[in-house]
This record gives sequence, C-alpha cells and structure tokens, in this order.
Amino acid sequence: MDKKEAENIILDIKEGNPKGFDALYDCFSPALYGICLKILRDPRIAEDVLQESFSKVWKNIDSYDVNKGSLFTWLLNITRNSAIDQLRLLKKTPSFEAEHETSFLKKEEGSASKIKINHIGLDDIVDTLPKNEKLIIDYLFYKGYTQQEVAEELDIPLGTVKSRSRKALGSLKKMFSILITWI
Amino acid sequence: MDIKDYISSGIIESYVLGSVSPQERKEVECMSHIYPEIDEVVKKQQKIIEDFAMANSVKPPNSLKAKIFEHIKEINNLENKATVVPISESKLNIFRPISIAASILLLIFGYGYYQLNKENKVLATSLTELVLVKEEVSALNKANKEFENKISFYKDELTTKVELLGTENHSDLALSLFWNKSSNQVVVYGNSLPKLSKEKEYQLWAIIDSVPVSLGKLDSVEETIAFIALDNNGKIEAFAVTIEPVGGSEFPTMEEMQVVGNA
Repeated sequence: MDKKEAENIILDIKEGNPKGFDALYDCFSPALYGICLKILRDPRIAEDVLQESFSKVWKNIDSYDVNKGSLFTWLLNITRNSAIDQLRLLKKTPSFEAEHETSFLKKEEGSASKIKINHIGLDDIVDTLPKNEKLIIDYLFYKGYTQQEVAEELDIPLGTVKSRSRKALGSLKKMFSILITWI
Repeated sequence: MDIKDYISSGIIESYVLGSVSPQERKEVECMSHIYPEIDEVVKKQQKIIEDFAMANSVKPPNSLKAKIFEHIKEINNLENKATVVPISESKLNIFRPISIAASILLLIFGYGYYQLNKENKVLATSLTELVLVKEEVSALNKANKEFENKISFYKDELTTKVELLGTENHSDLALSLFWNKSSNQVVVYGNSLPKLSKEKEYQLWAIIDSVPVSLGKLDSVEETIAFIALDNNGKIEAFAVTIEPVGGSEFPTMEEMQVVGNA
C-alpha cells in the first residue's frame, strides 16, 4: 500500500464512508489478527483485542500523520500494544500463567498449534533463526519486555541483548528477501 | 552527537520492536525527525517488522468483520450524537441555574485539566529538545575552546612567523610557519606547495644544532601541528621541507629540499 492509498483510506474513515473500513480491514486484519494470536494464543481473546484495536484506530484516526510513518506500522503498534496490555492483565490471573508459559517459537501441543494457520509456514522459517535470536524476538516483540528486562530475565549483558536484537532483525530481513524471490 | 553511535546503540531496534519507554520513544522520534540518516534506518527496520507481521498473517473468522463493523458504527453514532444532541428546549426550571453553574464549573475544571495535560505533553517534548540543545552547546563549547587555544597561540609574543623560501631549483616556492619559542609548538596552516603524486609526501624538518629532526608529514589540506622535543641547550637553527616517499624518511633527501628558512 502506498502513501496515496493510505491517505484515501484515512479520508474515507474520517468521512464515515464504509469503504474505508472495508479497505482497512481486508488489507490489514490478517496480519493484525496474526499478531494478536501469537501474543495471546487464544482465538477468542485475540478477536476481542482485534475489535478493541480497530475501535482505537477509529477514535484516534485524527492523530495519525501520514508523513510520520506508514499506516501499517501505526496499526501494528496500536494492535501489539493492546495485545500486550491484555496479556499483562491476563498474567495477573493465576490460571493463565501456567497454560501460557511456552514460547511461541517452540513447537508445542498448545492452543496455538491447534489453530488452523493458513499462512506460509512462517514458524518453519523463523526456526532457521539462531536459537538465541528467536528468543530475543519472542521476548521483545511478543511478550513486550524491554531490553533491560530481557537482560535480567535471561541473565545476559544488556549489550548482548542489543546486538542480538540487531542481528535478529538482520536475519529476518534476509529471510524475507529470500522468501520474496522464492514466491 | 555521533549519529553512527546512536544508530548502533540498539535503541532503534528496541524502538521498532516496541520495547522502549515513552521517553525513549519520543527521543527516537525526535532524533529521526532531525537526522534523515536515523529516519532512514527506522523506516527500514519498521519495514522488516511489517514484512514479519504480513508473513505471520492469520485470517480471522469471517463473522468477525461484521461484528467489528457494527461496533465501529456504534462508536460513530455515539460521537455524532454527542455532537448533535440539541440543548433541551428552554423550560423554566428551578434546577436550571444550578445546572448552568455546574456546567460552568465542569467546563472550567475540564479546561484546566485539558491545559494541564497539554502542558505535560509540551513539557515532555521540551525535555527531549533540551537534551539535544545541551549536547549541541557542549559541542560548541569544545569547538570554542579549541579556537581560543589557537588564538592564544598566535597572539603569544613568543610565537614568530618563519618564512621558508624556495631552494635553488624551486625558487618560486614559499611557505610560512608559526613557531612558539617557549612551547616549541610549530603550526603550518594549510599547504601552498604543489600537489604531489600518490607515492610522495612533504616532510617537515627542524634543523637543531646542525642536525635535521623530523617534524612529520605536512598535511595537504588541514593545518599541521608539531611539537619539537628540545634539549636544554639545543638551538633550533632552521626549518625545511623535503619531498620523501610516503611514510617519511629518517633523514632528509637533501636533493629534494623544497623550501628552507632560518629560525
């Protein structure tokens, strides 16, 4: 989606034109729902958070500035933050923690793997990342830790967390360029 | 502010992965607003996350779209209602003065809260700007200090200008340098001598008690600063410049002496 398309969608939304919602939902909801699912691992909760995220988008559409960054990044941030907030809330209920304490990167028999996932086998690709880089992405992106918290949790120096997150992004980039030429 | 250091500090990765404090988030946004290089890195890394999220897509259940659309319509209606609900027809009512007073109070408090909130936001932005300004000031201070040092060198009564004139075969050449007799610092500002091939360079010498002592390579553009280590009884007699192979020579090639001048 280029800047012009994004601007048109925003304009439709501001004018209350249903076309705006249609375009936004069709284009981005699978990616946003994917993030919710990865973070929350429960389709029902993920759906609620997706709805909440879209509401936030609607209420705050005036604060989005097309010159400051892409629409997708803005949506991702809103959705991820909503999901992380929900995750933190859920973590306070004791029954949740035990079920949830498995990394999304590990193949497990948990709820996530039971969901029929019709994407291009990203888990397999992410599996090709070195183990310590996967772990960093897991903590930073999906669990909402800060770099300092990751350093404390894994008992490694902050500098190592920084360099690994840099490397992980680099590896992800490489994977995607391979993926694009492969598709 | 070293932009490269900032980029390699890991904060941008942290920012795009969403694991920064609100203060750090403001900082990165402020920095990428000021420095296009930082903005470029941020955008590149956001693209990686976008690709990552796209590749991670899961189609939500079909029924969800209609449900969310209904929910959003409700929000829109609520907002519209909130703006178009007319003030009820004026009916004389003993509560009316009270309600008006209450509304005014609420308005005042509401406005006060709004202002406070706004000021807080402005304050946070100002803080980030202040940090940047402080860094700039300290850089300027440093540059100023260097400049002052230079001026005091040139103003010093013990600093003399030494004119080096072309030798026999290079009579058209000339170069001047400044030498402080107390600190024995020598400064050559710029280099007016002809450009040399890549394999050659100009080397500056001081002749001390008839012995040439190397003062190092003559910088081609910037100023050359050298300090002469002098024994108590040593006497600087002259300065000279020769052409030497890159890397310099231990002893000057006398046939290649370009300019020379008595101290």
